[in-house]
Amino acid sequence: MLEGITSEAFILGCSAIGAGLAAIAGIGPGIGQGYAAGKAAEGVGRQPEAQGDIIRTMILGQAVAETTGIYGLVIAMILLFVKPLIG
Amino acid sequence: MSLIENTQKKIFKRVIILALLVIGILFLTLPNPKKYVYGIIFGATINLLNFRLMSITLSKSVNMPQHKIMPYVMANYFSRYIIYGVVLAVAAMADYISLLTAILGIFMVKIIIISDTFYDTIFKRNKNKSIDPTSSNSKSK
Repeated sequence: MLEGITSEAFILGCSAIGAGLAAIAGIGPGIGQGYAAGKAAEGVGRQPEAQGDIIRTMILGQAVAETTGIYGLVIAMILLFVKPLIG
Repeated sequence: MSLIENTQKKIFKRVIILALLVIGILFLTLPNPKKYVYGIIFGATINLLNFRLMSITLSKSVNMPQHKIMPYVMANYFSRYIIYGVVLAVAAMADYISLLTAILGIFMVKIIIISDTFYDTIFKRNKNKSIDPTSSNSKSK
């Protein structure tokens, strides 16, 4: 079945699959950010005078949370473009 | 000026200072630091612009109807994610930009936020220790 496929091409294909799987890591923070923003809106509705504090805390938290998605993206880009598995 | 804008300005200022510090170290330590410096500038600039975009999105989303918030925030998050992807791809493909320093630049806002929290925690702890007179009395007893 694998006849005619060089080992380099096989590794590149596997790297591409790995990159796709790594990029899935970006979905989680997206859902989390949406959920957090919804809860923040609830909080602002309950206590409108604390809007500035709530939004500030949310922005800082989400900036930190967003980078966890970027980790996966970095791995994907390294697998795709730097090709570390091919010596 | 509002609290949010103040915080943003503070973070912008600190990120620029940190980037300049790293650029200075690169110039002092490496013989040919041009591509590393380009990487830092590229990553940090995109990171700051994306941070600004995120704060605008979130400030808008708080005043939206509840059922529209999640799709709006998620769509904006994925647009930022694509921007980061393009930046990383360009940094990986271009010979004149270092991927490593571009990654470092992309994480600068996170480094600043976490280091600020660490600094506050340590500073407040020391302040409490120096102010609280009962702790030294209780130890001496």
